[in-house]
Amino acid sequence: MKTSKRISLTALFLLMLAFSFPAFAALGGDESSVATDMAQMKATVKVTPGDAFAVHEMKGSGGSVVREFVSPAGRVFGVAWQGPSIPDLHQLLGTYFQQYSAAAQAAKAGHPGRRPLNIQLPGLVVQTSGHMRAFYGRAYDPSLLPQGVSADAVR
Amino acid sequence: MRKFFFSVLVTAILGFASGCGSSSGSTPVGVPVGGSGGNKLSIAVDGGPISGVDYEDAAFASAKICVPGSTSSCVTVDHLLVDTGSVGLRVLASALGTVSLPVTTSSGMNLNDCAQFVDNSFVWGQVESADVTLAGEVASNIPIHVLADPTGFAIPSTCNTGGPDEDQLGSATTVGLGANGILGVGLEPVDCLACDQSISGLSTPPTGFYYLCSSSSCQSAFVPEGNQVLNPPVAFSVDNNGVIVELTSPSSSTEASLTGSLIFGIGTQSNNGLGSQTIFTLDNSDNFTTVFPTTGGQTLTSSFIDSGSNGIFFPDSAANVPVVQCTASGFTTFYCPTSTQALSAQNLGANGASSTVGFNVDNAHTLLTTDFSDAVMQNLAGSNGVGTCVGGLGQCSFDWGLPFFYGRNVYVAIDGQAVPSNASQPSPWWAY
Repeated sequence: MKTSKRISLTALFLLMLAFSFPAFAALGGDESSVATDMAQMKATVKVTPGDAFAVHEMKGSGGSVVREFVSPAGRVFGVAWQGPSIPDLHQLLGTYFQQYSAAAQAAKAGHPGRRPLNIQLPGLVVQTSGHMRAFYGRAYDPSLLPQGVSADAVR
Repeated sequence: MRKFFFSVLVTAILGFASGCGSSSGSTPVGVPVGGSGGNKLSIAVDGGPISGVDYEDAAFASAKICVPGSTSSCVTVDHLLVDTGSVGLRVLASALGTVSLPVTTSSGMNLNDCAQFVDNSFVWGQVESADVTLAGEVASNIPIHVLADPTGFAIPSTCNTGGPDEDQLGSATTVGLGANGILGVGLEPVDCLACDQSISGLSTPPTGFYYLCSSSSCQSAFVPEGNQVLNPPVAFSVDNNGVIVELTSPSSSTEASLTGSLIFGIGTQSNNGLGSQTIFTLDNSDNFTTVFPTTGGQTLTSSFIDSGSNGIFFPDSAANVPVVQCTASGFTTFYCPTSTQALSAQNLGANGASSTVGFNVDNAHTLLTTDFSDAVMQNLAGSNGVGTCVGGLGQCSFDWGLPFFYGRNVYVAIDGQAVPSNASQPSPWWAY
């Protein structure tokens, strides 16, 4: 029931292609925020429902992809991205943004360099890889992972 | 796709060169030198420019930057990070001193560029024109990126990732670039081919690259390739098809410093010939494949060589290679084995070329918290995603940073540029 609703929503919001990332639901947000944000979307969206979790995938025409991982309870427990630039993380990380931002900066204060990010906080993991023109990243809240779902699912 | 890019590129570069070829007076540029002068830029792994800060595993070079056409309004900027993982010269405004360069404008607005890096750090600033001299070669009137926090408007949220804003040098306690600039000599001719609408055909400009800014706000903008921040060697009259990074092997796993060369051109002079090196061709994102570990390992399809990465970074796949992550706060990117760990990986080009590379991993926390005198740390390594790699998504990347370059000559053939006649593959490619 819930699944078919999701799919019809998707069909409704298959709008025109665009390169940039539009507004999107945030990590830790609930599923209704996905639907609300979809109204502003300019990218193709695909929802893959599953027993353990659903994946909302948004593709921009320039090769950028954002995936949101939604638990059966309707919470966004992880986000993953890849593309030529880094998506708007204020939007994507929501209430986790400040925590992420502080950790990303602390990792480099007094210690310059170029290396992937691997933030491991009790309630937030953020990891990145790649290089200019080809970035990858993911963020998840370990406490929100649905039962039986490993962090490997967030990719 | 690439062939299309190539034809547009040639047109653009011809147009570009004809517009600015005579601005630097009578000095011949890029003259053949027989291997000892004009195309050979000294580089050094020396810990960087900040007193009391050890920027390990980073190679630095100097460039002379002049107001276009001027021989007096010039400044030589040292400690530019030699980065084969990015494209274009980006320099701190503070390092230019009193030299004031002309700003690129469009529709009466200043053109700003954004560059993002893998740790979600970013730099921001205006696109300005300069004559850039590297060793004996001159790139005349090329767009460069001058890094400075804006006045009068905020850095757009599509550029500001929330990571470190590195528009300043930094210090022992604060975030910064850790260098006076970045000399990006990677695989592409400009930093955003997709930002040229005539090339990409996109309907809206990519975010995170170019912006036109008025006094109050900035909007993403398309920018013709000729106005984009340029890979400097591409503008040389000769020796313009790529670079070779040459660094010797350290005599032990850590060393105070190393010196070497950034050679311009491939197969254009007696000092830059393509010999027995293996060519590795790449996918559309300029990646190749690394199998790690060599036996029974994951196939990491988004792998790359990057002199700007200050270590070797690869996924910690517990199923295959139990490399221990550091747990100390601020160090979780790095690996901390209790004793030196010997590992190997196999690189595979799109052309089927392969090579097996052995390397060692030492305890990064020990290295970084007890050894402040050595800039060369051959066994510094860290994670690049965690977990298993499935379907080419997310965590499928091996990053061969500067330690890979120690004891190797690494060739970078720039996309769209001619390759030597004995090269079996069109650019872009790496060879070593």
